[in-house]
Amino acid sequence: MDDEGFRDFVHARLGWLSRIAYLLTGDRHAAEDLLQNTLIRLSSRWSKVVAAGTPDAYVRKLMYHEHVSAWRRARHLRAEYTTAELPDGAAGPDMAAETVRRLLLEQALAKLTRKQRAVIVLRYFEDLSEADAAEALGVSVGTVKSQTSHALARLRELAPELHVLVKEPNERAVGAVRAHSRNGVTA
Amino acid sequence: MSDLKELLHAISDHAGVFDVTERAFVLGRRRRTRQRTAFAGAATTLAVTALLVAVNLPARPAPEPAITPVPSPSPSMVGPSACTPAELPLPEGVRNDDVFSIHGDPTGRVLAARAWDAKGAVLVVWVDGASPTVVPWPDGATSVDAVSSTGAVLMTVENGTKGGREKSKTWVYRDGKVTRLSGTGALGLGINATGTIVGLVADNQLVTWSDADAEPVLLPVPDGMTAADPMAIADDGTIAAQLYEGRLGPKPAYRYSGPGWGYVWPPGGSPQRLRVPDTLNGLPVDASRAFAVADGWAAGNIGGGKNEARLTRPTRWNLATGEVEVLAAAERVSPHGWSIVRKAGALTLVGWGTAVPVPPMPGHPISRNGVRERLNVYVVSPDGRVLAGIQDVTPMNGLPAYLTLRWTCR
Repeated sequence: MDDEGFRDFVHARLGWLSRIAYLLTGDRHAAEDLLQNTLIRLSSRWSKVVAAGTPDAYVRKLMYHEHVSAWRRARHLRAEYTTAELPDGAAGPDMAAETVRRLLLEQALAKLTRKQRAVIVLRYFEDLSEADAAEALGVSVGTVKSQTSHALARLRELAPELHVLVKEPNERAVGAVRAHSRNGVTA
Repeated sequence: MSDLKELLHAISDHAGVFDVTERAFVLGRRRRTRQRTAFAGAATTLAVTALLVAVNLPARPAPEPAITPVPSPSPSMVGPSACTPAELPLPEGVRNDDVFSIHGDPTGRVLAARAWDAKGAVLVVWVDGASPTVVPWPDGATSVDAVSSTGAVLMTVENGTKGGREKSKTWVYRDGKVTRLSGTGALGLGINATGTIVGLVADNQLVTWSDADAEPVLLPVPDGMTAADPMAIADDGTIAAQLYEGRLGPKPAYRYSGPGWGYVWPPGGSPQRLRVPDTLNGLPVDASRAFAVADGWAAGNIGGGKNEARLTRPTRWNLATGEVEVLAAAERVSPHGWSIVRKAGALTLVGWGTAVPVPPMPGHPISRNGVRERLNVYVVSPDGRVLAGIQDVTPMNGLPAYLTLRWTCR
């Protein structure tokens, strides 16, 4: 294996991959674990990945797969409502509006399913097309469309204060209607 | 959409950089070597498993921490008046930002965590916050799941399903050696001072193991219910676990069809659903869970309401009377009812009518919004006398840095 090639590749992308891992998990320790498990898998297949010539797409695929398979292994509802960790109390009154909005979004993201969270990160943080997001998740474009729609509707429900940011430009009317009428948000 | 993108970037600014390159490189290399060994030897799965056990289980003999169990305390009505933090001493070669998955025993004396030294993962066990014992980490395990007052530790990997069945594995560290828990898909989730372990085997069957070498024995669950985590076992043998209405099935991916409820099994007795109030702030209560049990008390939470109106609150049950008490919103709660409450970034230990600040390490004040210099308490002993956790002391625009802390509250 080309050890230096692996190190160079990872070092160049460490900041970006750390951000994605943190957005997917919402927790530094979990993010570090996710990134590490991803890179272990990348390292063990590095020669083949280099030979295929698409390491960026491959590492992305590995990380999202690792993230979502952690969801599959949930034989309990660990990542959802019933966690041993109870939610934070209300945010303090002295925070800047931007900080409050960021914390609101963090809390809302924490209540999405892993797949929904992944699709939000792929589409709105990584700016990937539906086709590229589908490739990263190993699902169809239709699944990406529907997961995105569900995720945005759920964000609207969870954080109505953030309504302006969950307006999807090409959103199909279906799927979002309920949330819109509930929260008085115009599509 | 730009707003969502900007906020996502703002959130990601708090990620820092996780430099796990070398660890991943070393572990990836181990994995490659193993794959080659497996191919070259045309070994059977059984033989490979045996090889892995031989290669990865304790190569370095580790002395057993000398621990004398202390009698279970009765619920402490008179609470502590001050908590003092101290950094947990780390083994040589383990950095402060390399400590994960901290768990504690019911006496507050034993703490265990997964950590990393230059060679790879290790299990670190502290007794009374003193110089730690280091044990080689079982290959593949990902987390510490439970610790007993005799210093036994459960370590688990949950690695998906095979043919519709769970493949999870649990290792038990005790008396200086590591044993793999028997049973298909064995998942140990609680261990007590007598060495009895509670957990699940394939198809989420609730079981106990009388010790780390024993075969699993089925524990009865009510008809139509399926067991899941969290679960715990008290030193007197009382078991607390979560049961879901409905059956577990491979489609959709291991989900339960109904709500989950906290149950207890008195020693040798049949399961009893923990009582819950009808409503929580006017919302019908539709779920409960119990995740800790000690000295005749269980701690957990209850929830009610839908979507953004969803409300959860920590709860404490008196197992002798069945009485349930709903506590104020908190991040952690112990069976005796001590909880950790966060407000404007600061943590407070609250219970029995008292509130004690949980201070950061001197010289590392926490920020008002608790985003940087954040404190996280992961362990609250049942009597609230010992806490353990991590303080994030990442400098602005710097690499992530943490302190591993133990508080004694008197």
